[in-house]
Amino acid sequence: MPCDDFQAELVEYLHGSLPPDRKAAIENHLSTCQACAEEAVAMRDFGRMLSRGLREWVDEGVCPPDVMAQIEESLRPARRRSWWKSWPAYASAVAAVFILVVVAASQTMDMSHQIASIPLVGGLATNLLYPNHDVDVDDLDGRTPGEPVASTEHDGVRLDVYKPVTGTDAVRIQYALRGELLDTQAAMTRFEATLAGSKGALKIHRLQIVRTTGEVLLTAEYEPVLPGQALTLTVKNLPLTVPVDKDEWQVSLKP
Amino acid sequence: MTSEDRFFALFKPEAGRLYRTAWAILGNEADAGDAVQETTIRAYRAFDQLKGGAVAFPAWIRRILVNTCTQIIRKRTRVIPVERPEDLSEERMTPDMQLSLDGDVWDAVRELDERYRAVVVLRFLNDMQLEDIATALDIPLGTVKSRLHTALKVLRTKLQAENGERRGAV
Ligand SMILES: [Zn+2]
Repeated sequence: MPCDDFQAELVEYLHGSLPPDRKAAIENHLSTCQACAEEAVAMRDFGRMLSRGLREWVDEGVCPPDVMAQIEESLRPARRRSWWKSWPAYASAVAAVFILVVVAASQTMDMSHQIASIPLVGGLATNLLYPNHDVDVDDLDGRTPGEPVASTEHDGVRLDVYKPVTGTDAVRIQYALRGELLDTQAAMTRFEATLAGSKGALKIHRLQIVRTTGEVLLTAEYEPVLPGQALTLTVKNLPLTVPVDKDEWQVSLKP
Repeated sequence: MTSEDRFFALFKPEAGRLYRTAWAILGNEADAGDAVQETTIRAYRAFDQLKGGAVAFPAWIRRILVNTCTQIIRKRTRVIPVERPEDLSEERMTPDMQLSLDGDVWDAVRELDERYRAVVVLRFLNDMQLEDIATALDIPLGTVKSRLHTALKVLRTKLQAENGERRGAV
């Protein structure tokens, strides 16, 4: 076996778990081949240097004051908020999930898999980022936006818009396209959407697109507006398998 | 002392490290801020049940953070950022913070493509096994290995070219 092949396996030898026979073969080769042995040492040392360099950089870290302030704000009002106390069933569901995590933590050092299975907390945390907005219980589970507040339909394709929420940092709006939709990334990159308030189009911060067969759910965050403002959502270049007459669709949301 | 005070007393000394760990994994400061915030909320809700007390806190919250970050990466396959993350991070950066960004290793790692950077950081900063990285990022083990292999090649070329002398001291 040529040295190149041994060196290609060094990453796995040093950082992974090779089968015992491959491990033995490499160790045998390293004991007889100086070039490969030197390469193995250099690679091991390089890995150590990487670890040390990254850790030093992390140790020097300072949490930006605005992030810290946001964190404190997101925790403190949460305990006093009336909606939290008024949904005891939901609160205990969250508590139950966390108990599962902590039990797992006390039994094994590796709790990553247990935490990864928490289904609710992401949506909850997203809501807490904007503690001043009105939270409906439907909004707490991010996967089900509830009943649409406005809809429009053409040739079997339907656009449903869900109640936008306004916070101090952003306006979040969810809308779904349902029907004969193209399920490709390329089709979605052509897609355009604008949300306008009374002073014109809002600046978009983030757009999340979740695609399943026959359904595209979009969650978009825009710059904040004053609560109670009328908003207009305009979508263009929809990812449709069958072109329809309309190229641009508009839905207005009354305050 | 309320449990909120106790939590913050333990959290605050870790905040800077958590923030940078998230930044390293996610590649930009805007997402790092979100990840630390979500981590804090998760940890705070579970805080009453933390076993092992203050000593166990840093490792415990770091694990929650790494998990929050890898969840964010898994979701990213369907997230289209409209603004470049760098644009957001510039706004947040104060002159003080810029001064501390001069680590050679981080400068090289941060330039890696997202796919490579996450694997390198999880392996070399967070000491994760390759199998666990594959699970966390929901990619095949073979992909983790090949990305690590490629990333190490790139990093070695870059870092050793930049400071060959320092390497001799390792
Ligand atoms: Zn050899």
